[in-house]
Amino acid sequence: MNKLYIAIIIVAIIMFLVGYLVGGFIPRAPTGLVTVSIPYTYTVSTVKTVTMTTYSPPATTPPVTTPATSPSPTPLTPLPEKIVIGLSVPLTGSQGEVGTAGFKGILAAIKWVNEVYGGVHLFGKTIPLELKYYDDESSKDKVISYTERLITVDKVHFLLSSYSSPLVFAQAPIAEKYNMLLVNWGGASDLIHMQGYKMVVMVWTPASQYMIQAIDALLSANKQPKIVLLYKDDEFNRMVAAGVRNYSKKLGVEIVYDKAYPTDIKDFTPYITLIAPLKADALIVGSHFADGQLLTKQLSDQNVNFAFIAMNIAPCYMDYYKAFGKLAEGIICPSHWEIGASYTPEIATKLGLEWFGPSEDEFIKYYREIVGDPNARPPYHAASGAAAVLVLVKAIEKAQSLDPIKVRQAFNDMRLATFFGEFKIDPATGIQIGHKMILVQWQKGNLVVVWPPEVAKAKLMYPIPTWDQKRAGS
Amino acid sequence: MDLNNIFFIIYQGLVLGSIYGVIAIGLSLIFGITRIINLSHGALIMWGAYTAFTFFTLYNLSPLGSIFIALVVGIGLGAAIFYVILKRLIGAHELTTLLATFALSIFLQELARLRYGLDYRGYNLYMGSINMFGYGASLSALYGGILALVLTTLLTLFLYKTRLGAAIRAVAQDPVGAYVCGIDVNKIYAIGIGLGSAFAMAGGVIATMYSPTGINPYYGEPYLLKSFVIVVLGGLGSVIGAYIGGLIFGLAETTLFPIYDYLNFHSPSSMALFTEFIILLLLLLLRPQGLFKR
Repeated sequence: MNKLYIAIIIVAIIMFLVGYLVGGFIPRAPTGLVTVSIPYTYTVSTVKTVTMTTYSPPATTPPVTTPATSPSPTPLTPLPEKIVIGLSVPLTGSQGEVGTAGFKGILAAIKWVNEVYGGVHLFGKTIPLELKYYDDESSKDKVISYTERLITVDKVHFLLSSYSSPLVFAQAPIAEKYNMLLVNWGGASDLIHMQGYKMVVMVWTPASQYMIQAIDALLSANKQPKIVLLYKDDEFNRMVAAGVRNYSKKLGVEIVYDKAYPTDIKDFTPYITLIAPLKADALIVGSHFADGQLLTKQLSDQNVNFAFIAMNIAPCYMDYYKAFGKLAEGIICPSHWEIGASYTPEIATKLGLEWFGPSEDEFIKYYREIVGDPNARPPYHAASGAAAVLVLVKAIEKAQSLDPIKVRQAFNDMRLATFFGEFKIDPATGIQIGHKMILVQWQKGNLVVVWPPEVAKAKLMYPIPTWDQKRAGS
Repeated sequence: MDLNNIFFIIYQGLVLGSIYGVIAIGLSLIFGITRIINLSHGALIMWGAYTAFTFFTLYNLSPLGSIFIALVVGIGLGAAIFYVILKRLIGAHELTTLLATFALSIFLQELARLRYGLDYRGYNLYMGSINMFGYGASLSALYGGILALVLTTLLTLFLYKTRLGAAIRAVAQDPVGAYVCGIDVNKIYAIGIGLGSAFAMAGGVIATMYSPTGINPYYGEPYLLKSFVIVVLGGLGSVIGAYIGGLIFGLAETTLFPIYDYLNFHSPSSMALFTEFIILLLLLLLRPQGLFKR
């Protein structure tokens, strides 16, 4: 009998491996930028019909022109005393640290809207914002139940998203089910916006665009670079890698090694051993925090050098420098926003964009008040959360309505500049196409903006020193 | 791929395997003596990692030094865990002890979260590199591997060459018989769990010598899973089996990687792990008692 079981298991394994192998050799379309055809039509209130067709790469997306909604002289229903925004956010759990930063940014923006701007301007009145929130503890189950509760029990007017792609992925269908507008400031995966949802609007740059600027920066210093691409095998970083792959192909940049690594990786040495002999110029890594740190450590231990290293998330944090000191020098991190690289009303005017919201200084002031620390430095997650509040306010005013569908529609042709940067969405998917990433690089112990050149505060360091040179102090 | 590359991959596998081995020993030891599957093993590894991190960042103490602190704290902590929680659960239903150690694991993780928060911590440990078959090899990882071997040897000598070690083995074989012979079984249980916890914490310190980054309250979880596989592979309750199981696991992890890389799998590392579990499954079907007896 035992032999029979063994035979069955062996056959099953062989079949699985054959299937996997065959699947692995079939050329796959890059998951990040696949054009999905989801033709659908939905009727907005009783007035207009918006036809949404397909998602195509941002650059070629034709703008959908929507007739401007003229503000009614009087509201159809009595205006509420407060506009209630619902939020389920991870204040604890694995995403707690970053979720809390985003939450504080949201509070800072609401404070600015209520205290400085005077509230949301609707039918000649100003209505203050109120936030109703729950701590979803970084749990998919909780984010689902709290999102439903916010809509059905708390009767909020609009929703801001949770933080992290998996959590936003879990809550988006709930918002969609109730036709509730969800402003996504925390889930960067393009896939969230490729599910055919009509009510989800993204504030920051999607994952597939994270490393685009890194390739541009690399090409500015080396016309024919050879790239090694490593990425964590998760929703977010698969999209990052797909973006790098597509953009490199478009520009004719050679990727000499392209592999994923598991999410709980504890050892990069097998990868490093194989990439060391390739003598590539650049290493681009789709990472989070722990894996980014581990890779840096093991690269330096094994003395495997690159002239250019760009890595997601890990190097953007001060703890990275605390852990590595001089070894962090020259490492690049893509960022959505940094202090000193904010948009200003002048930049908005130059770009022909409408300006809205606090200046960088004002935002930092309010953020510090909320945090209770006069020296607190808001990370980009806080700025993204704040930007979500600001664009929502502007869309409500543009729609002159609290109907989520009308406000969602108002987002379609809204182009706006806040301190966080430009806001413009692809109307069909709600994905962000206006906001651009910046690159920051560790230089002499400081994280400085080096790309794009128009907002750069320092010159890109290329090539970066070798690990031995860094250890020696240069 | 040249010969040097193959030798270097084997070298890496042995170093990593040695570290996996010492990490798994604690789990095997506690099961061997008390028949308790300790789900808080991962949390103890995590506390070992924090011990190395804290003493390095606060007092610039190398993990080679903090490992002794981890061993001492581990023995004390393990004995306390026994007297406070596990003493009344000896002989209880397996589910009861599983739940108790699971709860303990959550408690230890939350304690770490209170003390250190959720941020990933790391420290800049660099002991130098050596040229190994034409590749740069981290000395701290090599020292970690050697230290793991030394600790395993010392534990084996302790168990087989001392009277206390004989008493521990006697209790592991037959607690009632040992009690009749005058052995204080509860004391032996406390020492056994203390030793197991000490090895888990020491394993955490050594793990940071291999990669002193990514330390957070959930640091030990991947190691817990691997430890289970290793102790089952080596034979539940066998110290030497756990160490050799670790070596096999580490070697398989590093040698399967280039094969899957060559076959162009998009995540060779995940496939290597997958294959290891398949090998384990087959091994258990053919030899359910593991490679070594207790």
